[in-house]
Amino acid sequence: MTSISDRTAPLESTILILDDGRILARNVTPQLARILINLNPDDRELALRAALAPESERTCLGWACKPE
Amino acid sequence: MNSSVPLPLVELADPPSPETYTPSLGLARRRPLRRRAEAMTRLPLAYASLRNCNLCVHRCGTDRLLGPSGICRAGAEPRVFSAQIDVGDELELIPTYAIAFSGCNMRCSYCVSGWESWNPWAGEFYDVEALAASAASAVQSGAANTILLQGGEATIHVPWLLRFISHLPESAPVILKTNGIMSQEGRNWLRGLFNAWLIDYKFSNDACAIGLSRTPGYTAAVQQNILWAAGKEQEVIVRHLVTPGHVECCWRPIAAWIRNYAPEIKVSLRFGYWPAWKATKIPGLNRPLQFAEQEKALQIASEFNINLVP
Repeated sequence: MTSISDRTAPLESTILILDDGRILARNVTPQLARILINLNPDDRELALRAALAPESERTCLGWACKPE
Repeated sequence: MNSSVPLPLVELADPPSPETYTPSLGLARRRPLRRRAEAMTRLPLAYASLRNCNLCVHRCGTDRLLGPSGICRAGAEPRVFSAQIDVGDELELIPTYAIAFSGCNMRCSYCVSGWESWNPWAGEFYDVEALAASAASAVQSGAANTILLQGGEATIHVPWLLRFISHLPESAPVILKTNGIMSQEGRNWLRGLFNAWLIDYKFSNDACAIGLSRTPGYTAAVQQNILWAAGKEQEVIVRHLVTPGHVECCWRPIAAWIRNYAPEIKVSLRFGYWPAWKATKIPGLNRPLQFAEQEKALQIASEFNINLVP
């Protein structure tokens, strides 16, 4: 049994950039949302998602991004 | 499996506008009552049911208490391969603290989670009480609006879900995401415990379900579960991933079914397909969704007056 506090795994996301310029993403973390909106500032829905994403330090929960 | 049915001329539906979108009040309105105690009450028998597991439509009847078995190859305890804040889900759910279990009872050839999703050996065992505390902390601090339980397939891990609920504050907004192929027994263990259900409706017919996901009996199961969830005064969002080559054979009949049987249900139409995992080698699935397919899917949604949510 792994203890949550023992785990230091980073937040994980995946993106795929298609030939036609579309950007697909899975597991869109707040950090990735901000990157994506910088890449595509005209995407209204993406902008709202990025706006809803909390500040990165507030996502440091348990093992998700344990401070070193 | 694509047909060439001519489309009537209709106005293209605009995607829901984030500026004008008001999240539903359903999550607050449909707060389950006394669910911690209810979950604890159900737990012993739910564990015992794993000795002859019939939680999903496959009805393997295997003894999961002896170890991993059945089509899902899941044992009695799930492993978690991801637990993090996520903003990629429906707007009324995000930011969400998403917990992903490994192990799945479907084998979607294009699964973006790939082996982590269906292989129950992926990820690690975590203490359920600590994970519940972490999730509750995310909500209480404002970092997350909801807690999302997903897979793989979450509903094959009923005892763990009951334990998780029993450790959460009553007020925590918990969403269960499922592929929708629970059996009647499976859904009965989980009734009334979640603020909302997020149910995938992937295929409109068993030929596509078997061909793409090796899931006989899919159509009847997912339709029963959607109607059951919606009929139990639970908040429900139906999610459909638009799949290349399956707009006419799958999305159109799904939209028609929703129009006929659950016209007010919220539907999340997803366009983020990418040719992951085995789909990279399957003709027709080894390409991203075309823009024209996305437009056609929206046209169909408009035609059937589907209640789309962003």
